[in-house]
Amino acid sequence: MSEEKYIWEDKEFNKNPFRVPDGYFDHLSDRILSRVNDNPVESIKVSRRIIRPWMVWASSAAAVLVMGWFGFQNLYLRPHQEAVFQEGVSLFVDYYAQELHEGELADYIADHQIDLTTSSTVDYNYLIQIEPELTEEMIYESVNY
Amino acid sequence: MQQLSDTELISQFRNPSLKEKAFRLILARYQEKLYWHIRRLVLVHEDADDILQNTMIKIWNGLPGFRETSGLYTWMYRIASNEAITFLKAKQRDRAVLTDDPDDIVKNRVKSDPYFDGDAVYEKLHGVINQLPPKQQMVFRMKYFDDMTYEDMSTELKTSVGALKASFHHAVRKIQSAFENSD
Repeated sequence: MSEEKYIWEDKEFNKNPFRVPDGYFDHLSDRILSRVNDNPVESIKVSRRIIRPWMVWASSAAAVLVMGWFGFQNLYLRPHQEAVFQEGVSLFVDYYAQELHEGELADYIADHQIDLTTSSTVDYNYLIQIEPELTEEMIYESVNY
Repeated sequence: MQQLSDTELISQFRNPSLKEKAFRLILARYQEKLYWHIRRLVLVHEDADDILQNTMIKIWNGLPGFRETSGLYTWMYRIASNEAITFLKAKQRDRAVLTDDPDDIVKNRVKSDPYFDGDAVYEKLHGVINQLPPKQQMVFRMKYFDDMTYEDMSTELKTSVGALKASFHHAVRKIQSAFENSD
């Protein structure tokens, strides 16, 4: 059976125009493992001896400032944005549940002018619980590249 | 000797004494495929290398909590995709503050990569694929570039062969249409 030839595959077309440095894959595993070992997931245990009282005060003050900023955002800035977004998500999920094709889904986003750039600031974990692929879709769309 | 399944490798990874050995086997199985996937997204070798390493660190950290609702490769593929997208997004932000034409910057960066021999057709194909919905992109890349069978893709993506064929067909139709319209 002959392989299908596509319109873009003219005689000049090179399906894989990429090369890698010689031997690149030979030591890749070692390099990755050395980086993994340099970035352990377990939190680094900080010795109590090096924590000074002023560090505790400074970190407390920083925490208060950060919490204040997030509080301000949540109380004054985000509710409206989030309400609009949640409404969009509900519609989005309802629509998705009808097993529409992905292309139509993209059209749906455009038709309903769902602002995926602002939605990218919303906690995606909520969406992941509903539909992982939906979340991925939104991440891709928000990039708009 | 029979090759361990992905599920067995994940199980071994969760055993501290076998963790590193299992991860080496996972790397041996998938690192090259993931590299090429990332490379096709970001084009430049150095960038793909950085992104692949970051992806693998995330996989190492995330594997203990992996719920196996999809195949291992699909999960890794998604992490790699998101890493590449985060990278491209950052690049986009960087370009926004530059005065040069962004398109020229991308083209020059690709041209300066000694490991890229692409022509204008490839660059156009790359652009058109990036406009497809993510699922179609994934199916098209796996089928066209990675030469995966529909049966393997079906196992990985937990999607029927019929649905995959439809996605691939739609992707091809859209790409062809983009090429026809530009002629």
